[in-house]
Amino acid sequence: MELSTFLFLFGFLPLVGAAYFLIPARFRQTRNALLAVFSVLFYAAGGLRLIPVLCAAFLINYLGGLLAGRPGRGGRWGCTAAIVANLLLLSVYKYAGVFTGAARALGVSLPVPAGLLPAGISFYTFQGISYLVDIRRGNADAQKNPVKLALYLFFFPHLVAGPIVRYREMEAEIDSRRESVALFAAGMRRFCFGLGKKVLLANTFGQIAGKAFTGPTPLSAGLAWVGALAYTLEIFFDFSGYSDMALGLGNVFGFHLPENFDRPYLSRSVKEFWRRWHMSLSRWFRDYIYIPLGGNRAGTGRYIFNILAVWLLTGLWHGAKGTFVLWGCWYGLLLLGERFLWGRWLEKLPSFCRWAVTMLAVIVGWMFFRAGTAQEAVSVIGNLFGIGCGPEDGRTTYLLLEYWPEWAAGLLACVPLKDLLSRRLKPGTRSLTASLAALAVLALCYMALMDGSFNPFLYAQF
Amino acid sequence: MKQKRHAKITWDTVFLCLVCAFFLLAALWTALRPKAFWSYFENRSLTPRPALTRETVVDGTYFQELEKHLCDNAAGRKYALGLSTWIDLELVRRPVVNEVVVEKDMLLAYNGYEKLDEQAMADCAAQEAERLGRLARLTESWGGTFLYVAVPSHYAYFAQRYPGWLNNREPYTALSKELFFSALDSQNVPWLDVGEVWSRDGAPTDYMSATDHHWTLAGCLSAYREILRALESRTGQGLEALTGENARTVTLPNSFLGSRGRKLLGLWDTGERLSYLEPLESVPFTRRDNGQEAAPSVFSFPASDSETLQYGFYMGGDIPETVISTDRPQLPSLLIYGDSFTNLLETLMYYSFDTMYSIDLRGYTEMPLLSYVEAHRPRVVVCVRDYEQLLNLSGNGNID
Repeated sequence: MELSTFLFLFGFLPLVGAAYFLIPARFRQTRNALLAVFSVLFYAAGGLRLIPVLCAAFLINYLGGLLAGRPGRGGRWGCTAAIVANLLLLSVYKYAGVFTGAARALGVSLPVPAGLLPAGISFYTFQGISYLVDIRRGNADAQKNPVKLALYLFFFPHLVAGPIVRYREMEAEIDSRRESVALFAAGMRRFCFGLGKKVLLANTFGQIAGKAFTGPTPLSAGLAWVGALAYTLEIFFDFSGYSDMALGLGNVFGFHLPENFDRPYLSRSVKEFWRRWHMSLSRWFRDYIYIPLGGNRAGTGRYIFNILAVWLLTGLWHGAKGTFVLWGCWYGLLLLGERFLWGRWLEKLPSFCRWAVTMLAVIVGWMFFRAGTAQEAVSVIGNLFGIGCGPEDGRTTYLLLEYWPEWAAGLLACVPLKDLLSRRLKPGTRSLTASLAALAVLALCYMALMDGSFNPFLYAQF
Repeated sequence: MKQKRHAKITWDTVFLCLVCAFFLLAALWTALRPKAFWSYFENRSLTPRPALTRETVVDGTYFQELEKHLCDNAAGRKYALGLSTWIDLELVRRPVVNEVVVEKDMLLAYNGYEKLDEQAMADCAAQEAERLGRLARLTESWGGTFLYVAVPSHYAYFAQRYPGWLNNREPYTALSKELFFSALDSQNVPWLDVGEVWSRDGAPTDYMSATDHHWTLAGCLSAYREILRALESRTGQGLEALTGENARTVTLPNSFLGSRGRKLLGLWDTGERLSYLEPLESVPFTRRDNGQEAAPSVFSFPASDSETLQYGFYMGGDIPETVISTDRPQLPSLLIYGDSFTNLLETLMYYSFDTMYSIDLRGYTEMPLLSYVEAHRPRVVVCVRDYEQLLNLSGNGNID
C-alpha cells in the first residue's frame, strides 16, 4: 500500500487513527503493539507473499541485535552474521537477476527467485544494519521487546520509502512520546502538503516526462529539456512529498522522524546538493561506509577510493542496473572534481552561476537515473545540447502550455515560498492560513485521485 | 502569550475536526453508497469490486483492484470530475481538456504525436484493398455494384483549425489517402472521396459537428447526393433522392451533447442542434434489428424537448444488423456497412431502395460479410469509412 492511495487515505488511515486514539495514552505498549500490527497489515496489502520477507528481516535483526549486544568475539560475529544475512536477503530479492544473469554467462544455471521486489526492502534493510552496527558500537542497546523492534523497523509511514531512521532516533519516543493536538495538527498539515506534492505535482510531472520521452524520437532539444525538467521535478515532488507524508504521519502518532530534504534544488554545489537531498541515505552512507573506510583523513588516494566506493554503492542501492551505477559514478566524479579541479573556480562565480552549474549537473544525472539503458541516457543528454536533433517541435509548446499551472506551482514549490509567506503573516494567522491551505490541497488531491489512474510512486521500487 | 497559544490550539482543533470529518465522511459515504457500473460521461465501465480469493490476497492484486474500485466509486466522484473539468476549462484554460482541443467555437480531437511508418501503412493499404477487391468482384458477379466512400475524419476536415503546435495528422491523412486510393485503383475498386466533394462545395464549417466527431445533416446530404449520382451512373437505375422539393429539414429543439461535449461532461455548449430530413410523402417500411422486429423509424426520438440528444438519434446508434424493407421490389436492394458515419446516411438512403441491409462489423458476428453479401445478393454494396479508418484492418475493415 502507498500513502497516496484512496485505500490508505479513506480506509487504513481513519481505521488506524481511530483505533490508536481510542486506546488511552497511558497504555503506551498497547498503542505500540497496535501500530506494529497495523504496519504489518499495511505491508501485507501489497500481497501476503511479502510477509515472509518481513518476518525474515525481523528475525535477522532481532536475533542479530541480541547477539551483537554481547561483549567480545561472539558479539562481533553475531553482528557480522546478521549484517551478512540482511545483505543476502536484499541481494536475493533485489540483485538475484544480476547474479543469475552473470552465472548464466559463465555457464552455470541458477534458479531465479519468483515474485516481485518487495517494496521498501532497501530501506528496512539499511535500518536493520544501522541498528546492528549501533549496538555493536555501543551507541544503542539491543531491544529485547520484539514489538518495539518491529515498530522501529516497520513503522508504516517510513516502511516503504524512508526516511531511513536510526534506532536511537526512535528508541526514546517508542517508550515516551507525547501526542498532542498541536503536533497532530502540524503533522496532518504536513501530510496534506506532502500529499499535494505527490498527487498534484509529481503525478503530473510524471505524465509530462512520459509524454516527452515516450513519443517519436529523436527528441528536439526543447522537448528534451521539457522532459528532463519534468522528470527532475517529478522525482523531487514524488520523494519529498512522500517524506513529508511520512514525517507528518510520524507527528500524528507522536514521533519526530528525521528530515529527508532541505530544498535541494537551491544548492550551489553538488556537495551541497547531497547535503540537502535524501539526507537520511547520505547520512547512512557517511556513518556506516565512508567514515569507517577512513573518510577524507587517510590520504588523497584513499579519499578518492572512498568517494568512488560510496557512490558506486549508492548507485547500486537504487537498483541492479547499469544506469544506476553510472548515476552513482557521475556523482562520485563530480564530487572529486569539485574537490580537486573546479571547486575553487566555482566558488568565485556569482551565486546564480553556481546554482545553474549545479542544476545542470543534477539534471544530467537524472537522465542516467531515468534511462533504461546507458545508450538511451547518452542519447537524451545529447538531445539536451542539440546533438542530432532540431531545436523545437510542437510537443514542447504543448507540454508547456497544457501544464502551465503545474509548471508554475512546481517551480514555486522548489523555492522557500512557504517560509517567505509565513514570515509575512502575523503569528496568530499562520496556523489558520496553513490549515486552510492544507484543507484546499486535500480537496484538490481528492479530486485528482478519482480523476486519474496515474499514481505511481518512484521510490517504492527501491 | 497564553491567549495566542490558546488561539493556535483552537484553530488546530478546528482544523483537525474538519480533516477527520472529511476522512470519515468520505470513507463512510464511499462504503455505503450504491455502486455504479457505468460512467456515462467517461463512456466506460467502472471497475467492479474484486473477488476476495486466496490467490489475489497473496499476490496483492486484490488490494490493487480494490483501489481502482474505490476510486471509481468514491463519494462525490461525479461532482469532483465536473469541478475538475470546469477548473481546466474556465479557470486555468488548458488548451486540451479531457483529450479534447477546446477552440472558441469548436471541440476538436486531441491527436497524440506520431511517427509515420510508411511501409506498414502501404502494407495495410494493399491488404485492405485486396479484401475490398474481392468484395467488389463478388458483388459484380450478379450484376451488382460496389462503392467505397471515404469520409473526412473530424480532425482532417478541420486540420487548419488546430494550433500549429498540436498534431492535426495532416501528413498521416495525406499519406494514408494516397496509399489507399492507389491500392483501390490497382484492384479496380470504385471509390468516392467525400473530402473532394466538400472541397468543391467550399468546405463549409457546418458540414461537420462542432461538438461531435461525426458529420452533420448538411455534410451528409452533400455526400448522399454524390453517392446516389455515382451509383446511378454505374447502375443506370433512376434512384430517386431526397431533395429540398420532396423533403423538409426538421431541427430538434433539444440540446445536442456530442461525443466531445460528453467528454467535457456537458460543460461546453455550442448551441448546436440536431437536424433530420423528413420526406414530405413518407415511405412505409418495416425494420428488424439483429433479427428482431423493431419500431419502423430511422430516428430515436427523445421523450421530451428537455432531453439531451446524441448522435445515436440517427438509426438508434450503432446496431450490428438492421434491415429496412420498403416493399418496393421494382427498386434495387442496398447493403451498407461501415462505422457510425453510416447511421445518418442510412436515414436518407433507405428512401431510394427496396430493402436496405445495414451491417456494423464491429458488433456483427453471425457470419463474415462476404457470406452475408453472398446470402442476400444486394444490387448495391456501399462501404462508408472515415479517413482515420482507411487502413484499419479490423472492425469494418475485416470482411472475411
